[in-house]
Amino acid sequence: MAACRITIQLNDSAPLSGGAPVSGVVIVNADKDVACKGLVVRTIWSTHGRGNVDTGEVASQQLFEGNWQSGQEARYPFTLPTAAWPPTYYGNYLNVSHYVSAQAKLSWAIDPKAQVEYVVVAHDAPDDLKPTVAPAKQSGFLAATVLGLIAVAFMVAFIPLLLLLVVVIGPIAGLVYFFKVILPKRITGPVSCDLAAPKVRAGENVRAKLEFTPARNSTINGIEWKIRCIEECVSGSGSNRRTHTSELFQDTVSSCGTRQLRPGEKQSIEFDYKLPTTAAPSLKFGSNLLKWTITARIDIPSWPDWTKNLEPIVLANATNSLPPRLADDEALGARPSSSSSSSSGSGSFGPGPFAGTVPSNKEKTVGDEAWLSQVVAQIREVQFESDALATVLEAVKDFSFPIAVTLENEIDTPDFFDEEHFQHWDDAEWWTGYSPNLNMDIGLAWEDGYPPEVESGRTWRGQASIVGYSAEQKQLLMCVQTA
Amino acid sequence: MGEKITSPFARHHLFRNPFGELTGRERAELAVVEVEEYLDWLDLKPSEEVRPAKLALQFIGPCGHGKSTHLLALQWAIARSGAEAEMPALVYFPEEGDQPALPSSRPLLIDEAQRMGWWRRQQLLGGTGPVIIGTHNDMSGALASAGFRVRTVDLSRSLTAERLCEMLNRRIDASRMGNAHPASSLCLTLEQVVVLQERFGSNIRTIEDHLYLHFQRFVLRGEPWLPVA
Repeated sequence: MAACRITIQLNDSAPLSGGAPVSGVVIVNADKDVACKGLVVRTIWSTHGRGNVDTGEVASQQLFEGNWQSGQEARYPFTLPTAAWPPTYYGNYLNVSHYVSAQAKLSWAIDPKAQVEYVVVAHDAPDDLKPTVAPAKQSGFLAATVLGLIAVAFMVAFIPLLLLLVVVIGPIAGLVYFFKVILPKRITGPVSCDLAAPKVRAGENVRAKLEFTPARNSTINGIEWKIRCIEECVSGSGSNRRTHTSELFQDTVSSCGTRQLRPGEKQSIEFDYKLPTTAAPSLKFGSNLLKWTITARIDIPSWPDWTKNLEPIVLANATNSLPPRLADDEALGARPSSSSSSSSGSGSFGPGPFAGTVPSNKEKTVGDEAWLSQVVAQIREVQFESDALATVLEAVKDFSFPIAVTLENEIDTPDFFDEEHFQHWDDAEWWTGYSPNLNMDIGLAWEDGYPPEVESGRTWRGQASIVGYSAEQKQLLMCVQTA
Repeated sequence: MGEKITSPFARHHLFRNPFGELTGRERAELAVVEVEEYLDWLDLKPSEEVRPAKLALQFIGPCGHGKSTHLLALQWAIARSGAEAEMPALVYFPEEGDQPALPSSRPLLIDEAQRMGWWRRQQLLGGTGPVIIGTHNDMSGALASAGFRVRTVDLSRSLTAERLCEMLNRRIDASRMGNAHPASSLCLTLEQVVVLQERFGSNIRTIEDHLYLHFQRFVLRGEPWLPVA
């Protein structure tokens, strides 16, 4: 038996921002007489996922030192500051979480510990994206200084080797520079390409301008902008080091087609693109990063293209206090890139929040769980094809199925793509929940008001018909069938 | 829409994907390594014909089969056992670049020992034990010739399905949200692990990669939790 057990209760589970304090209580239940050399509580942030763990301690506090008696329960309230940055983020290869962590150092026993997660939202970001509270260990600074001196000594001692490297690598780098920079400029002349603002918020427009004045008569095939978001995570070190990249978003926009260029005639091309409202925030750590890039390309026929990468810093949506929940990479990144003549782009997420249906007045035919599973599998298969999804929803609207849902929260009416559907369902009372059997989020509607036994954390069982689905939110909408 | 914020892992009573990257300490704590058996062997009194404490424990196997994990687990176990005043040195030999120095302290752990150059190898063979090495190539001949008593563990053959199953389920257990939450119902059965081994062999790193992606599809896309090909 462990000497004691630790649990942490937070006073409030609401998201925190701007370094606001988190408070709660650490509860210790002693199973034996034990001497505690220190009960310490900390606030920390940490990445988790495919990359090496980047972590930082924000603050710590020793709550107790002394003895606990067998059977004793002791409670220690605490209040600690939290980090203003980075924000909580759940992605595909990269996640960022914030925790309150408590650990007791015991004599002659394993140190018990506990942690509980809290959510941090950030409406602004540091210019360098570095965590506002980093592990500022003196040994790290000293190590960096020593390493720097060693590097200098190395360079001095091996100057001949360096010269050889310059002779070999230099020409290769020069060739690359020649083809990627010098040659295109012979057609375009000097090109300026910059973001209108270095930071942009999710759901708002990112803007850039590309300008050049050709020095000669020439033709270009067009100018396009590729906007892309990736998670990049490094795991391991040395020869075991691997880089894992997950593309979260990608879209290509054409600003202009074939164009004749005349010498001295200034060209000015603007890029104006509305970011998705759930665009992931830019993040940067030692081994992990989330990066948005905009690649401008001047397509020059039979000639190396001119390209430039811009890296806007994307901030979380200010009107949405919730951390963005990214869909998986296939939902976002695997979509074929669209190309349009519109400068505002078309990188939308598809057919709108919820595809829905309005049931007929027919009496419902009762289906079974096996059939419901097949219907859900079919919905998953066609979820990104709006016509096919609508067909499936229409086909099953007059059937009801048995389902068990672990209820979470009462919510507003889901946002249906079709206004008629929204108007029909707006009078119902809605709850979110989760179906373990289907492994799916469920939105559950009661048209005549939900009964008293419906409350958060309870499992509701009954008959319901399918009335909608959102590919973006991976949520199935169902309407309860009362007897 | 007012939606309560929870992580995608929380509904399974986990705080992270169990098959993501771990810190070195976590990797050591979760390793399924017979540390007690190895520590006992390393403390074994030598017979008269062997110089005192000239013992060498070597783990051999290709990349991804757990050599580094075994070394980490033993490093932490030695530190916790209190037999040594501080953490024993673990020296990693990179593929390229300068060869790190070998400290004189013992026990000494060496990762990627097959990359040692001639001089480092001579220093190792001419020194005392105990030494614990991870290597792609069997060094038992050279160690024995230098007077070491050698024990070799071939990790490419020692990974049973039961051991792998325990290892992977420890990862899941270590990702639980905490005592106040119920245990996750997620687990790997021996049957599922056998299928994984049939596909990936004993390459633990590849199995973890596969399970990471599979778990992400499970939580993000609602695909069934069935980590088999």
